[in-house]
Amino acid sequence: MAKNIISFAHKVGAHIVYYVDYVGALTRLFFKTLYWIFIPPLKGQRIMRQAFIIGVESLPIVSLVAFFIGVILALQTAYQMQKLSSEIYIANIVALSIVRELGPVITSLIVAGRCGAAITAELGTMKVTEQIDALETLAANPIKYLVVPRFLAFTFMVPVLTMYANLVGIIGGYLICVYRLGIRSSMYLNMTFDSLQIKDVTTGLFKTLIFGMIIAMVGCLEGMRTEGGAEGVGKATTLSVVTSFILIIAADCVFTAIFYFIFP
Amino acid sequence: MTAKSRVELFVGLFIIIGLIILTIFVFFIRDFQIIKPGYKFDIIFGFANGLKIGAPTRFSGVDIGEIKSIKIFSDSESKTTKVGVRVWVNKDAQIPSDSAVWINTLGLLGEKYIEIMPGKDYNHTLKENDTILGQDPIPMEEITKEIKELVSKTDEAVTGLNEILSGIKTGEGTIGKFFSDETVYKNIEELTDDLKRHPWKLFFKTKEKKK
Repeated sequence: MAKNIISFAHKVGAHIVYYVDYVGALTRLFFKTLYWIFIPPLKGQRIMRQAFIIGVESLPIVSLVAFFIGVILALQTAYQMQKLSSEIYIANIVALSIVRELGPVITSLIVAGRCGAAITAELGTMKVTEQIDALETLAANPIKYLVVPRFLAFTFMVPVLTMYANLVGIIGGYLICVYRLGIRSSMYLNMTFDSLQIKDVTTGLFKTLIFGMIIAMVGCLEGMRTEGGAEGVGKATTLSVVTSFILIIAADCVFTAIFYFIFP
Repeated sequence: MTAKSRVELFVGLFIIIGLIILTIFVFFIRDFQIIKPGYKFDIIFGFANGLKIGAPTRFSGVDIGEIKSIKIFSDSESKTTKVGVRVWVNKDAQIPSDSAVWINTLGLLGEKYIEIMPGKDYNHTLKENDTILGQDPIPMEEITKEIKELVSKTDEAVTGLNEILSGIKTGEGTIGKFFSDETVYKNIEELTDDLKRHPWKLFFKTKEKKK
């Protein structure tokens, strides 16, 4: 009995230590990356390649999902709003939920699943095949060479993708409301832009900057920590996606709360 | 075109279109109209009734502007607290200085806004930094108080009436007897009956009158 309790406490403690250690490693990598950003030379070519993969190649899937989210939001809200015969407020709800919350979060989750996993797998494979060690022997800093371009690309591409997602999501809601629920087109647009404020857009975009950093940091950290061959790469990739998702949602909660109290 | 420059082209295009979308959003959003030409003036109220910054201002029922700031100050002349509301309005709005200004409630949720009913004096319209006196809204508490008084008065009246009615029901007092006692009815019936049979009685003059 006493043995069980001790082993239980041991497990709990090991978990806590693991998470604290993880947060520490993440922060350390973050500051190292920040440091290396300002050390020349900064290779634009590498950043462009990553930006292409993260931004341009993610655009179709992000647009598709954002469109569906807009349509779903309009239909689900219409279900309740028609009972109150105030269908016109669907425009406000769709616009506010997409711009403030769903656009940033859905985009970040898709990018985390699509590109965060990819960079973990890429860096993980490089780690287990000892390519990263080879880089170091060539006096090339792996953080400078591998992490910095990805970090910058994620940080700047996710907000831009979010702008697209916002627009496409609102178009989705617009199509349902105008062609299915019979709301006048000009009325819908008017209500949409009436309900939005500059701060809704800016807080949404600010959140995505943070989410982009989270995805890049978690992806790179998991990749650089990979151990144990092909199986290890698989595990690291799974862990990377799961951790990014959890951290994105947690950061979203924190920032939403902060913005709620700072900019009421 | 090399593969290298194509990547850069696409990324550049992607970012530029993203920025264009952002600009569209920013320009269409309503609170950007601060840059539109307009002017500001002050309205002084004695009671603001929960008015908020950013609440709309309506002139003849049309949204023409919004509240920029609300400040509270004590008026040294009348020794009362006053509320100064600074309002921004579109430059097209020509507001006569004898217009009636009051705080109104919008919709079911009770959002407050400033209603301006145009006056007649178009020779003097409000200009930048002018001041106009607003009519004080009746606080909800006062309305409740008045309703309460009205209710208590009605209550008294109803109690009084009830007493009379119950008196009538039980046959007390003159009216009560009139309602419950059939003697009067019978008397009248007999009288009319008698008059029908002997109409001459109407013209009958008693001997006493001859005296």
